Amino acid sequence: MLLYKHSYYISLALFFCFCSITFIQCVDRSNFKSCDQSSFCRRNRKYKPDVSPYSVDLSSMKTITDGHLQFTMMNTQNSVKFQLDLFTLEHNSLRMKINELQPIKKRYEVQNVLVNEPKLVSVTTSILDGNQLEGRFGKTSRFLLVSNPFRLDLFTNDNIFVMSVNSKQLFNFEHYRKKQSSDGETPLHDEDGMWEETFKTHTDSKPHGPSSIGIDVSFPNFENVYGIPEHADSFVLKSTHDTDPYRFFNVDVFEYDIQNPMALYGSVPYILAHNEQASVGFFWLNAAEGWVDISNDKLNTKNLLSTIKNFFGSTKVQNEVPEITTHWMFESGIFDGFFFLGPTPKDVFKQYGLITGTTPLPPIWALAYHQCRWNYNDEDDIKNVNAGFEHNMIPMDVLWLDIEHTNGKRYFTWDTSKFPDPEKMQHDIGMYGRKMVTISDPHIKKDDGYQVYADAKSRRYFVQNKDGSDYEGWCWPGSSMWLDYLNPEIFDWYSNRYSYANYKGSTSNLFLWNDMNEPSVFNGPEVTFPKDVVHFGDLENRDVHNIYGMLQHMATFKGLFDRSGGQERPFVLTRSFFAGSQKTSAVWTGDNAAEWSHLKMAVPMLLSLSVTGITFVGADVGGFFRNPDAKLLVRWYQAASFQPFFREHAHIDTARREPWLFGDDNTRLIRQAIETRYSYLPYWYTLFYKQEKQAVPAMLPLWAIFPHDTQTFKIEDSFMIGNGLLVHPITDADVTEVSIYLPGDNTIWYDIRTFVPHNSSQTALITVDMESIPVYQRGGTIIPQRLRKRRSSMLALNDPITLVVALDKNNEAKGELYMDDGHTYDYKKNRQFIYRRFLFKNNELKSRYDPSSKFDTSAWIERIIIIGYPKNPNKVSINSGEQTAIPLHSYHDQQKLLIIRRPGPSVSTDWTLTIS
Amino acid sequence: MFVRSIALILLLFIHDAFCHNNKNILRGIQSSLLSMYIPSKPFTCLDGTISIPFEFVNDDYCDCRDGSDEPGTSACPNGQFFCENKGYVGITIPSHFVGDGVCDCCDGSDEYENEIICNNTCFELAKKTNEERERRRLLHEQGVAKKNEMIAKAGSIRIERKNRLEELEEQLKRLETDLNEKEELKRQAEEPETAHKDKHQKAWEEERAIRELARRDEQMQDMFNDLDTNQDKLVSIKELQVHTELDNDKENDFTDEEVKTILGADSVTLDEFNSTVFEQISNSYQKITQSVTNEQVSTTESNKATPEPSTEEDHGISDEEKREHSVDDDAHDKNDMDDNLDDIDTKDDIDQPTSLDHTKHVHDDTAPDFDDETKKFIQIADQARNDFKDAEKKVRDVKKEIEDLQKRAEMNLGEHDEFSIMYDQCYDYEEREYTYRVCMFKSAVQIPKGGGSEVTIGYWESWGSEPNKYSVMKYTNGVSCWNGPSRSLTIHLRCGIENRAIDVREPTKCEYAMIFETPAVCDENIGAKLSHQDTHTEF
Repeated sequence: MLLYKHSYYISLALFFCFCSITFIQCVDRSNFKSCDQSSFCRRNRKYKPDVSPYSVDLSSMKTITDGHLQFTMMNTQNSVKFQLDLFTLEHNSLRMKINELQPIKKRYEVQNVLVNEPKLVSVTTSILDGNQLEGRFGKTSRFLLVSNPFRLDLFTNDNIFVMSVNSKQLFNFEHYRKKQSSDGETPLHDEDGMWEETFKTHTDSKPHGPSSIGIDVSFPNFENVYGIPEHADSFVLKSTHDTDPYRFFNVDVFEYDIQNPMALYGSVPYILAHNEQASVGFFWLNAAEGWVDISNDKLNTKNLLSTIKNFFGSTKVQNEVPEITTHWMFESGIFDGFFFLGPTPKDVFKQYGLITGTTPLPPIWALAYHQCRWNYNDEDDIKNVNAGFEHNMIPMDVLWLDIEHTNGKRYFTWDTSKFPDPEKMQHDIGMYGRKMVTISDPHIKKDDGYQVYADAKSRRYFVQNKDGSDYEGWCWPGSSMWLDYLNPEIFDWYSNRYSYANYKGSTSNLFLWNDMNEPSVFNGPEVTFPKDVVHFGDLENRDVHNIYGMLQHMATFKGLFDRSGGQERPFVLTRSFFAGSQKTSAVWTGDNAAEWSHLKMAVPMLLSLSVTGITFVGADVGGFFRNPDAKLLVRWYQAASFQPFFREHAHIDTARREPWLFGDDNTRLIRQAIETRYSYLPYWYTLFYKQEKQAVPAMLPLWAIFPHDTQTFKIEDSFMIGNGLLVHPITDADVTEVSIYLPGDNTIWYDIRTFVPHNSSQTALITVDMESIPVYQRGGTIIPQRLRKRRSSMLALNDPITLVVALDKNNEAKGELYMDDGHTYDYKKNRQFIYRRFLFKNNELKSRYDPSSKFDTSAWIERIIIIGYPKNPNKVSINSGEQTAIPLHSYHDQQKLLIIRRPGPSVSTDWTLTIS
Repeated sequence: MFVRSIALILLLFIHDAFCHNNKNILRGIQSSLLSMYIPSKPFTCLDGTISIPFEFVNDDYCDCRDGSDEPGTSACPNGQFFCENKGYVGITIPSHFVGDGVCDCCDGSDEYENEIICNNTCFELAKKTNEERERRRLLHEQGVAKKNEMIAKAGSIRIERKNRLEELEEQLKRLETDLNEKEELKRQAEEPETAHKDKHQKAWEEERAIRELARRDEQMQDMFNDLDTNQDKLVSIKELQVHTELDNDKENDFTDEEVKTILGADSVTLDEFNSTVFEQISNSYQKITQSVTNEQVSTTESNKATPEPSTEEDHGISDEEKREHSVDDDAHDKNDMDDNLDDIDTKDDIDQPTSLDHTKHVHDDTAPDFDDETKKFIQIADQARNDFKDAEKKVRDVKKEIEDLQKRAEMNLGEHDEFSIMYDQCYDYEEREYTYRVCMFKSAVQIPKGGGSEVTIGYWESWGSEPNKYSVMKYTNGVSCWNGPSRSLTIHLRCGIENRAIDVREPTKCEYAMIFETPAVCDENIGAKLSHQDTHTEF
């Protein structure tokens, strides 16, 4: 939702200098800090010692447990001591923590992110030439800890040198200190901005002084790095040599601009590097404001230690190899870095997923189509929009209500003049298998007559100023306060607001949306909390800023989980997020605009989120601000129908844009796009199930499936859905042709609409019209679909399945199908699910499953389409158990298409189809 | 699209007997199409594209591109399922509604296989529908009665208007004659008035000329005496030479020669001074006085003095004051106009010295009041002018009324003028925050209840479009929205027995929608229409 509403916008214009009175474009960048205006970033960017003063005392090594080594470390310039912990983790991962040995104030270590305490694996260490400690762990992982100056090198597959820490000597740990240093200690650099910092009209009092940490992490032999969302920028991260660094600081950016490294609503301080040999990742668990500089360098191998020199895998020894150096700076906290050594993309996804968690399987309707608007005005409006979908025969699963549904932006209430009977409304919508979502923002209106406020106020549940008074700011409802979710008691209390008893008018058919949770504070510095406001545990917002939004949506998730007694899967959408948000929430890319450039930008933004674990993601269809023309809207529907979270949403000042308002032709095109989405729901659902288990995102960059195809490394106009579909959405007006790179070695790609095959390793020139959504199924995959139409996904659960078998050059293919009741936790608790594996080989298609799971369904196999089958067979038979049937088949020479009519077996049985 | 390309190749399905459950094979087929589904013959898809074995009909697999082989199952995305709905009316629904757990047919026939039980609600529905029809019929009947009254009233309004128009035309003629007469009377009254005023003015000008002359004479005499310092009744070169201000070229001294050029002789008498010298020097001449202050004053005066002191001039008024003066005049004029809108012809008064002039003039050059006789003529003329203005106003008023009536007569106020009585009438709708007021065929406003100024949300624009032109009114071009379009209102008219707004909404920001009940849209043919209705889609 947009930041400023009319009246507020106007009144605030006096305080904020907006870039344009005419309200045409773009953010006012001056509302947000540049690196130069953020003193710790300025200090760290300037920090370039000749020799790093940090040194690790290898003789201090203690083995705490097998897999956990502890060292002392010192800044030789000021003799400040640190503790360095190395943890060798399962699945080729390593964790390194560096903290002050005796800080005058405990430094914050981020909570609420890690799934569990990561599992250790044993490590074998040996000292090499006195200055280096080598450690071997897992099957093929290795690290080298260099004592003086401090450095950590990491190797995967035994010998491939993939990461190096502090090789650029930028490690800089600002220890907590007293302001008047009587101990003769000299500050590392100037005192500039260390004890107070003013930005615009706001002064950050910094009572604890400087506390930042900077570190460099290099990726030798890599040319492409990805991740560190959220930025409206390219998927491949750019060199920041001539720009500001990429920033992490969760903020509400009004009409955000694209193609720049400014901070947005959420942060995942996790970067991935990929080349032909390996995929690796580095994650720094830190919730403070952060910045990352990226530089593309050359690494001179002559200067490397001899032990490293020969570790560029099989590539010939060169004097120079490419290298990417990333320079990370956080304002406070500790260094808590996780290094994922891959070596495959899937390994890296899994390694990161084990640490921060995966997206739990959403209820199936959440993967279907959502209809939202700021605002559907009243119960009649909702009824009419629902009727519009019925009348126009467009499938739809969820209707959304934005802030205007509440009584004066008091969340957990209803504007009863417009929504006199919300329970009935939800029930009526539920009759069509549909759900509803209401919004619940974190700002609590300051109004003694508002129960939520009055209770929280009396319990002292709000975030406080440093003098202990309640912090008060402005948001939608006017003067507001913010709950301090860091306090577990408050977290639980907030969760409890979502119980049926507390949230009057809510039913089991209602789900939630947390917006403005960066949090957005209209009159705060950079439109958010001042950094010196105080949270539970004597923490400053400075330490915890980037997890605030996540804590809210975690509590919301818990509330929904608890209200059903843990039976039903919750659904929550959030705007603000942090590493680990995927465990409890879907994420959307916030307030985009109805521009072709924003449609195009959605792909790199969603890919950046997906590869960093935030996998249930989408962008507002049509663009939030301003009015899309029919063409843009249609193209947006088509693109989003192949992106994970599929929701239409629009600003209150825009014209209505329900799918049927743009003429019959466009209604038909939009209907087709939505129907296509529904037809692939069995595939999406299967991918999300696999995602929960294996952490491989549903939406992927091409290189995740074709890691050796260097052509794919910079592609951000195409993406994969699972390993079976390549999608190239059309994101330009008036195009009649698009160039699409089809990756892979000896791979065939079949147009999903025409079944026309294309060969791989080429850029295909494809003719397109308004109906076209260029999507290709990879030869060698089997994709389950539902080609029947239904009003909503929940009404299609028992409908039959069509299997689309796309053969590869060896006439083979494989695929999976996951199925369950679509909404409960029975799949986890009682193994109530079907997980089928299909294998086509030697003219036989087999369906097999894991007998430990069980789910009753009347769904059956309605149709099998085999694409690329060489000739018309004589006979097709299907055997399931003791029965054998001879289903009819048809063959189309030109497309080499074999269609088996009504093969008939239940989805839940084993069967074998034989073609002879 | 996808399914279509599959359907295309289904032609090629080959041989082999195919068995399936024959039960309810004809499910979901419209009675009018039953003849197309003959179990003993192959079935040809209704679009004529392909023929399939009859066993393929309703076998839960889509073969026909048009979905016609599966009217009774959900296999085709584009099929039509027919609910018989005994006791009510049969309807067709999309076949993908079949077996989806939603009871779409009142006889429950669309959910034949499903676990959920659909109660047969056809009887109740029929009852409800009949009641609803009856209610509507009654409403429309009552409404039509009112509508007829409205039409009748429109007729009498039309007649009244016609009569009134005629009356007004008559009146206009009379008034125009009267106006002409009044104009003549005015002219006649103004003639003597002008004559007397001119005479008065002329006398005054003559008087002023005489005064001017005397003043000059006096000045000349004074100057002569002044110059004649030795009082020998002659002004000599010496006597004049001290007045160096009279030296035209200031380069050198005021020489005898130069002085003599002015005097024309070595000395001059009063008469000679009068005839040849005075005019030459009067502009530059400065009286020699004792007091410095006086000298300065006189210097200032003489410097600024105009060549003709006798003419009316704004001596000593700075530019600033002049501007203020003129502004004051304007304001004055405006006040005058406010006092008497028609009194535009104020030329006569403009030449009159203003009170401000009086105070600024050293000499009393004010014209004397008109004499009683002139005043009398002015009074008479004023009366005539006022009479004329009154007459003019009456003509204007009548013309305006005629114009309004003609405009209204030309206005499209419904097929039978049924909206005629609503013309110009205002109707309010009270909502929680606002009162919405629409003044029919004029404009609509939104009035905040908590105070604050009202906002125009649209001016009458047009009726809706055919075929239901008179069921929609459009008001557009209201006050522009912040960051949006100008406000507009669409009124959806609905049959009701009185004229009233029953709902206002804002579905899109600044685009308002009102539901308005009026007998004017009640349908006289409703009875016939309702009884011919086959479906209940109206509800």
